[in-house]
Amino acid sequence: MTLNRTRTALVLSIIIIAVLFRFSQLSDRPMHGDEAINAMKLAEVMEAGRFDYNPHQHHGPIFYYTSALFAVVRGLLWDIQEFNEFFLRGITAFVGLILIWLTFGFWKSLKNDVVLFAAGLMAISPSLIFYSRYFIHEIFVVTMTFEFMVGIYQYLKTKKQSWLILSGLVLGGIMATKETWPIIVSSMLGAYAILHYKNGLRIKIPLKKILFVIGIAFGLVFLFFSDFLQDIPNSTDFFSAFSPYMYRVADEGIHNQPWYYYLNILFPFGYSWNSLHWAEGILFIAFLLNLRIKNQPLIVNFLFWYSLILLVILSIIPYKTPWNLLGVMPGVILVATYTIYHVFENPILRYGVIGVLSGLIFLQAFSYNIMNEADQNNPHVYAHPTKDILTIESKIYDVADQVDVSVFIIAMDDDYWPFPWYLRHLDNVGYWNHVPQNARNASIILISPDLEKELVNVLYEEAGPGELSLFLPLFDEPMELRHSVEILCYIKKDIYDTYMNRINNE
Amino acid sequence: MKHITKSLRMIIIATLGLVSILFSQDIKLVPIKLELPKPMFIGTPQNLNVKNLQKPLGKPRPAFLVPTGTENVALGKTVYSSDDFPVIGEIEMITDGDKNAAEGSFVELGPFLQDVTVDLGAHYKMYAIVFWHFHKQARVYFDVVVQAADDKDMTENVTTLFNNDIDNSSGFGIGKDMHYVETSEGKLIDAKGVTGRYVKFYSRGNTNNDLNHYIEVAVYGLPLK
Repeated sequence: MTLNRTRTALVLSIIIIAVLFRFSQLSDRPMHGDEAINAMKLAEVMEAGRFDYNPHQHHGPIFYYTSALFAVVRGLLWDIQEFNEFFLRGITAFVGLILIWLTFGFWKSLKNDVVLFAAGLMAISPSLIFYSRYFIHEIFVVTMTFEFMVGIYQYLKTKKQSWLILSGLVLGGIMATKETWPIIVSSMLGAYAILHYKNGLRIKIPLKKILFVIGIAFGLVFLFFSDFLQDIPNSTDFFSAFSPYMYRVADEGIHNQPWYYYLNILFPFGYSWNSLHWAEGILFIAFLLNLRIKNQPLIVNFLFWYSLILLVILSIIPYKTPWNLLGVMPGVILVATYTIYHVFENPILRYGVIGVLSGLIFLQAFSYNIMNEADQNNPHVYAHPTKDILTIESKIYDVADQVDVSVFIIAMDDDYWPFPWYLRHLDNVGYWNHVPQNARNASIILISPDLEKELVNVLYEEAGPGELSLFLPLFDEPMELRHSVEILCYIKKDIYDTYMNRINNE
Repeated sequence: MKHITKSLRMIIIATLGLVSILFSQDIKLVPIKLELPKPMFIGTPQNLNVKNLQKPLGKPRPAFLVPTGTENVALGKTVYSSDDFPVIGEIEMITDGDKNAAEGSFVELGPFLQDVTVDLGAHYKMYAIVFWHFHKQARVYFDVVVQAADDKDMTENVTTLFNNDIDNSSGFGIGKDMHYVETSEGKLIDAKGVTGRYVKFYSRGNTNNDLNHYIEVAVYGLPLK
């Protein structure tokens, strides 16, 4: 009875800590460009009732349709004006909570304590928290992948058809969320192949049941890519996504990183010398030590090989972004917890190690997600806007409150995100990847330095006498869109004069 | 021989190209930070009861941005005045680069409407004009009008760039610009890229007395191509 109460208290504590870490100060970190694009795409889906898929730029539709469902439940109207950072990131934070809850699906094979501690570590995992507070697809993919494993695992235990249906649905969900699904499926097949040859594993699922699962998955993919049968020809987009993705993987792109990139996130050499930031690295070492353990539950073996193969494949592919590491982390946490539990047989030592490690992970999570959420020393912060963007947003709205303004945002390769998100409440804002001829009509110009020469031409060289206007810097200090990516901010002198005069008269 | 000529031509073209790359200026917007005189407000300022008065910024004015190569083209240029015999100072002081308000740095012209005209010596595309009347005290000058033109008599290609004559007492039409308090920062006006050789400045007394003063006038522009 006492044990049950203790466990209930522990589960409740895990949930509370997980909720606090995932939902507190959700709006503080500036919106990443990808988050802003996702927000705008969500608004489009809500307005049009369908998803306009661009295989070159975007990921699959499930993310947007699910988020739209959340918006409907919240009673938000079909307009991006109604959205805010808390609402958008709250969706992924909620999905991040489901991921923790799924850990309890392994009660039957693992010791209760292992599941509890694994769930606890997932609740405070710096990387799981970071991408739960991030309005991008990754946490959806990882949660559904974990759900797929739980579904198959539960089917093998109970032989209930409903688990197969669930597995088919989440497999379809993974496929309709992100084009990286073949990597996930390959890693699962690889893990199964190793266990088959090494441990003689035989999973007894009849072929027709496997086809049944695949059929459900493709049915779901078809349903979503055809926008719920509204646009059946559009469903072939699912296949057209592979070509750009393969090209991106093979190409020498800006996201190409060395093979040890993901290990460098776990062991953040070159980012921060704060020893508190090594906790997930220690967890990874515990994960690797699992190789030495014989006769362990099948699910632990499977998760070990799955996570390792996934990490190896992701490390081989030159195209790397930090959020890809997320897929590896649930397996790492669960396997590492099992390993620690198994290696340290003395309860005092075992709970001591888990306690110290939990403390370190907690501090790392606090540092990465609350204290340094947009700091370049945080290895998860990738191409993230600096807090300057909030200063720019605030200033532009201040000016717009006093004077009618037209804001021109000009950046090479359309690299002006997340401004469309931040300036969504203004009517007169335009975005260009070149300097338009009417740039001299702008009240405020935000421009990337590589286009400054063109701007000078348009503003000063090509302008006829009397058509030209004097511009002043909008800020005293240089502004950065992202770390080391400057954005030049100018305001027309007469607008500045009117603005200053009005605020001085208030 | 034909080959030698061709090779020579190619070498010359390549050399010229290289030289032009080496010496070409990267065109960008550069802030013009004016070398400003120290503020000279002394004594208790009078209570300024002036209509249409612009409030002070309360902080330094931001630097204005102009294309690379832009400079003060009025520096050291000839100045003409409606008052040939200033009460204090010499007309040349208006373009000598000295912006201080101390004795010996300003020119005092007679009462009523007076003007000074700067001859830039050639045609320029003008981006900004900055001028200082008198900043030893917090004063407001009346009927401040600035015009640019192609000729000294202001008859050809005349553009009015600034006019705060709110009652048209000086006859240039009702001005829409605001009165302002003289400070050590001077008055910056947007010249909107007008072209011309002459820039004329009018004023009609100030809140302290009927006289007109000029410390310095600066015109930022580039030679007309």
